[in-house]
Amino acid sequence: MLETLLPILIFAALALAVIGAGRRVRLWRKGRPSPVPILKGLAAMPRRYLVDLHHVVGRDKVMSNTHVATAGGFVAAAVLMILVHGLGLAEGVLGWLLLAASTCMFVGSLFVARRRRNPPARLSKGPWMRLPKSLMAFSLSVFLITLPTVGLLPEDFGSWILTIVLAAVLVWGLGEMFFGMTWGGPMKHAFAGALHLAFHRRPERFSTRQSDREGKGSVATARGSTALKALDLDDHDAPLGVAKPEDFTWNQRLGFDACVQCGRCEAVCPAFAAGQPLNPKKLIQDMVLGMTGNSDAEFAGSPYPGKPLGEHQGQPGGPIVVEAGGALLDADTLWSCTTCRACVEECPMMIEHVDAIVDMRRHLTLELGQTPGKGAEVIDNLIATDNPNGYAPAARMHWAADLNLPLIRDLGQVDVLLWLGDGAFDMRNQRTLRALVKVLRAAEVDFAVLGDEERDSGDVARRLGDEATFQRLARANIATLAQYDFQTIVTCDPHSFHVLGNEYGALGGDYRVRHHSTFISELLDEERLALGGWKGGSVTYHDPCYLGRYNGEYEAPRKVLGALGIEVKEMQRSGFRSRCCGGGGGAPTTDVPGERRIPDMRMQDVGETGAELVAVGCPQCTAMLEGVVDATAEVRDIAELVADALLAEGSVASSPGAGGRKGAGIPAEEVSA
Amino acid sequence: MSHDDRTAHSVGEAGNPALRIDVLVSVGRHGLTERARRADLDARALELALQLGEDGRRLNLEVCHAGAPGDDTEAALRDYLGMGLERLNWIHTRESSDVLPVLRDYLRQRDSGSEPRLVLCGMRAEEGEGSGVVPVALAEQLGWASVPGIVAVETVERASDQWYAQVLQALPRGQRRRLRVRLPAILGVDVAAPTPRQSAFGPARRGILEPVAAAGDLQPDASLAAWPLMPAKPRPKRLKIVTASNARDRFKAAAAKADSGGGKLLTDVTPQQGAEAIVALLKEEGVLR
Ligand code: SF4
Ligand code: SF4
Repeated sequence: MLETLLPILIFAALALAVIGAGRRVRLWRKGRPSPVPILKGLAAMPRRYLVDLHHVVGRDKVMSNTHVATAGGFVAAAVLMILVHGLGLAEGVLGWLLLAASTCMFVGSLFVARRRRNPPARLSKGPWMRLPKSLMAFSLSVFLITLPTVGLLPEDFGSWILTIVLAAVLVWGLGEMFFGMTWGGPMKHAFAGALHLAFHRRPERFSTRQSDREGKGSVATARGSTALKALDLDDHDAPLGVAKPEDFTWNQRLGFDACVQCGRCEAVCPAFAAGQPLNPKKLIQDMVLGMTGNSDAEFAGSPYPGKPLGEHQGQPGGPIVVEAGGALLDADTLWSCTTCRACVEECPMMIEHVDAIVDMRRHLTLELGQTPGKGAEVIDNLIATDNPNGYAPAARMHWAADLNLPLIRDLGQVDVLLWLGDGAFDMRNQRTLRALVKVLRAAEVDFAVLGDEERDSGDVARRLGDEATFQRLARANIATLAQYDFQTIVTCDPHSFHVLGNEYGALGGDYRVRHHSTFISELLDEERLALGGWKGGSVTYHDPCYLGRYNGEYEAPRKVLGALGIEVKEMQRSGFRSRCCGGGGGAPTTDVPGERRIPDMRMQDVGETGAELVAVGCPQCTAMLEGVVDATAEVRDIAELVADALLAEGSVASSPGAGGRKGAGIPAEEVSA
Repeated sequence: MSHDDRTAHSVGEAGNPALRIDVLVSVGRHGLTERARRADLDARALELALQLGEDGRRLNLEVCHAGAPGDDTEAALRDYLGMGLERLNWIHTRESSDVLPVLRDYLRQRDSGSEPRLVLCGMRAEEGEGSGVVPVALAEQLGWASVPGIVAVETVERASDQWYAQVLQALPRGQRRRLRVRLPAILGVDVAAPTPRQSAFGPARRGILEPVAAAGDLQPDASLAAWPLMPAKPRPKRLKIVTASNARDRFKAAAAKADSGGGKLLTDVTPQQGAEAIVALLKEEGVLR
């Protein structure tokens, strides 16, 4: 009886899955066009899955092995089942392989079940709680129906009751695995996830055989792979950002559907931890709900802090945000994000939260003029004065009145162009800049500055959604830079660094840009700096998001600190897991209230190491961390630490007493964590 | 919207005519970089007008600029469009033209019949003479009421065949005065009026700058031509010497109002007495001779 039933069941499930897949694909395709190489993408998919995805998943070893066993077992079992039971190719080794595959899957599902016993808050409950049982139902029933096939049990084993029970369990398993995969069950992630990997909007995020990553911790370091996509402002018909779910590109929509609700993004999101109304996981799920127009009442994970479930509902073609609230999501959710990219870095499905958030912000700013808080003022200042605080552009060099800095306008050609950033107007950052100038002079670097010709890089404007102002500033800066001849741009501002290095390219500006920590470490390699030893207390280092996750530079700052003789006491969250200071993405400007402040939490991280000093490499981080009251640690920029450790001129050969060149001579590998 | 015990009706009630508003806007300049942009006070005037339409009142809103064509001007006018306007009337004049007759004829042409009618503009332009005379002079030539220092238009009501607006006027040090003005009126909007909404790129780019021909011949601005112009210099500030030794005294000194020595407060006087007092003061100060 089973022999007749099995092919029917299997092919019915497959047919339903195909129909569901067609419907889902059509749903995605309601988004805006985004050309991708279809065949190339599909061909690259297995590698992207096995290498890049598992690179992220592998950060959690148990889960990674669980997934390999379950998913691998399932794929093998599904294919074999179709061959063996669907097409009746039971001969030889196939049946045995099927037994092995379903066993493997069963073992995996036991681990899935174990994790679901006391699931952490970041995991979604709801239908996800039945998944381990469904996995077991599938693997067990497939195993059992295969026993007679390979002859381990007689063909007519058991009674018809057993057969019916077995068939029922199999239907459950098939339903979850095949039907649920394309009709919206938890297994949807496998179908959407695979296609998302194939048609990802940022193929440059994935390694290729040639450019295989050099074992770095970050997945997002390929040049430009973290840059926001430029809007085509010349096309007057193109929407300015995303107003409704259908304004996302089709492959963004596909990406949302790939989410497994693992909550890794939620666990690292600083805004969520601060009790601000943002949860990146829920945001992605809201985007999924938006595609079909459902309410969030059924969402089985943590809500946005302070926003109960069931009060929001979107429409596929309706606005995502309405001023009165109650649409798909509220504006303050979007404005809580610091664009720290921690969520993107952690997401095993390679979903791009920040892109989606900025897309929606663009609509709010460019179409509705609803940049909250001081946002509108900052944008107005950028438009009128080219700096966010509305200072006179002619005052940009006042901090350096006594330094006699060479202007590139006078020289025309130099090795290094020192990009000051808007920190030039900030008294705290001016100390960093002065320190950096001292270091450059000590190393006899041939450098100059743009002086009053420099403008804001456009970072804040862009992240506040004002693509028009960003592009104006960028084009103006590119035109200025085009007049001069230089090798490298050096800056102590990771935001300028990122924008100049990664985002100007799309507008025609390609530069070699170095963060000052990288540049100083290169100077150390060339033995152009003589540093004394470190005499202060213990030190920890805070990775700026825009240097670390955005640009993959984790080593150089540690190397420089090492050269100073500092042994960095790492915070628990450091490197690619560094917690944001709260200063990015215009978050201090929009200032969405929460229960805690992000910089306070970061300072607490610092406090937990017991360090007396936290080394930073970003004016924003400096400002945010120094703004923490009752901080246990002092905040110093790496440039300041290096400048303080510079040995007096001419003492390179005869370094006095202790310290001496010892610091400079320590190889980085010995000290960097 | 409140009903008065008089025979007042609020605008917006069924059967009532729409409130007709003209907002006159000019080109502003940023104080430090001199870049052209919307003028702050005119933007506040437009904001007041837009807010009047937000509580369900029917508005017939038109925005107008009189000035010479130019890229800077266009950019600045688009800032107003970015506040959510579909179009803006632009009376093309020449650099040296006097806008007063042009605006007067424009407003006169668009007579609204029996509709209640308001004209809003900033109290003072950021360019040209910046004398703040335009609203007053326009009102004089049109024979309309003129009120400066407006921060809010509270109600627009009809009473015995006349339309009145109840407005809030800003006085020094945060004081407010509630006034009832007969319409049509030209209201000069104060810097204490609500902050203008953000100008958004999309509507600014889409909005239409509608060229409008001046009604009569363009006349040169005689007074401007006769005036010598020179760049403004920041006036030196008198330093306040504070000898306080503790924070409380320093704070009090910093927050203290400037002493206004002398002066007379006249209450319950006839207009005649008031005018005489003012003339006497002007003579005393040497303004009138
Ligand atoms: S967005 Fe990514 S990290 Fe967040 S829950 Fe979904 S799959 Fe997990
Ligand atoms: S970028 Fe940072 S703040 Fe924004 S959602 Fe992701 S983790 Fe949260």
